[in-house]
Amino acid sequence: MVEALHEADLPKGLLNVVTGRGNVVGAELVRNPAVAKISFTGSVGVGKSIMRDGAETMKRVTLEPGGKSPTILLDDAVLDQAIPSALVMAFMNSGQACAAGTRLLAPKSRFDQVKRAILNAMPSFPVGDPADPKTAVGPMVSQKQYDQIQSYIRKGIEQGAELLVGGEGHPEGFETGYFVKPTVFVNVKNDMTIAQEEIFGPVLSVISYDFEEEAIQIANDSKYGLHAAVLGTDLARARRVATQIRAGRVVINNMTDDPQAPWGGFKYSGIGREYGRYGIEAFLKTRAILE
Amino acid sequence: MKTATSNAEIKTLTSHYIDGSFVESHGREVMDIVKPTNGQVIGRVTLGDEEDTKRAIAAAKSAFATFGRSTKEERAKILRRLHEAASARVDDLTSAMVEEYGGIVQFAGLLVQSGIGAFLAAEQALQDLPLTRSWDSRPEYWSRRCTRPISRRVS
Repeated sequence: MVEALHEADLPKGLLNVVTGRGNVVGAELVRNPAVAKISFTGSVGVGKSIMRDGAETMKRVTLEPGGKSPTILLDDAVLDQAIPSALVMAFMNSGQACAAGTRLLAPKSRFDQVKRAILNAMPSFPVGDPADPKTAVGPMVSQKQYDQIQSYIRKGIEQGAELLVGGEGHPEGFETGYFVKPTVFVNVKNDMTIAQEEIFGPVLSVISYDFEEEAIQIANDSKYGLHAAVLGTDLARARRVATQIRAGRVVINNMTDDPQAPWGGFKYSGIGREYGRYGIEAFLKTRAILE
Repeated sequence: MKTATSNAEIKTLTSHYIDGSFVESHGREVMDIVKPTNGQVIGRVTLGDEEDTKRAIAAAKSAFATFGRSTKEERAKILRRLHEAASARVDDLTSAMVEEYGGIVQFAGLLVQSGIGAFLAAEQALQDLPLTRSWDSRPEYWSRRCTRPISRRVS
């Protein structure tokens, strides 16, 4: 990437890239009094330490430390469209995405239909070689991440969630490398570990609700608030639900992006916004001149 | 220290990008880059240390002395040049994501496109963003309420 950007012939020193560890290179950036601003995407723990250590030199910070994003399936949703859309959001980037929709909130009245629709849609999300355009879920980035996913799947089973698809171990035919099974748990309670912690892998928790108000309450009952989705046929209703979710972005009916729309979180999903005018303003300070 | 010559397919990166040039790392720690589909080492990267970081910060600080006074139009040009330079390497950037972290090719392609598009989106946002605002400070409002000169009220 740096080779590519070098060709842009920027003024010297405008872009500098030092590859290194967060607790070495990152720590120096946070400590150094010549640096005015840190913009960071990563974990909650590191985000907190940047804010804490940056206070020494009055750093301004933009932090994006992940999410546990809810997808609210309203009871008027067309499942043949809504469930594939929900699974795209759950498994995007093999689940290794801060915006991944890893909690699916489904109406209790349609729970059996939802389970069937998930089972019907799963063949469209094959595990495979990431270089193959047909592949939907590739390997995890490292052995450490593979182990982490396995431990979350075990914890889900131990805490009483019911496995609908997937589970522990490698998928058949992918015993080498860091491939995991795309996994869907049903009958998950929102206070279970798999519904509260960011797993960063293709593990979806399906949680049932009785009423719209309860769905909103469950969606907001999270330390995170980065992204959310609302799936339903009545758009006015979907918009009304969207405005009650404490998340930096809420998409209605499909995963979508807009490069001018702000990106960032509520609560532990961070501070500040990226992209568009909000992203530029995050690097500006205001000066008033009075006469 | 591990050597880079044990396997011809292993790519080694030993430099950082500081002050417009690729410079040899002062830090000496070497990290393996492992291909997630098979666990094989495909690269070795020399990691920077505090000294490399300080050099980069010093370069940025000295660039800012003049760049800090650049106009919107100059910055817009820079963003367009970055877009053009990155666009020329879309395929390389996508295949690096597939190879190095196992990103699925369809999604990696979208991410690269959106990353590259971000330069033009930033240019658009910059053009649309008013950097100054002014309003009538209504001197008669203050003169009615201030019993002392304003310069003494503001301490």
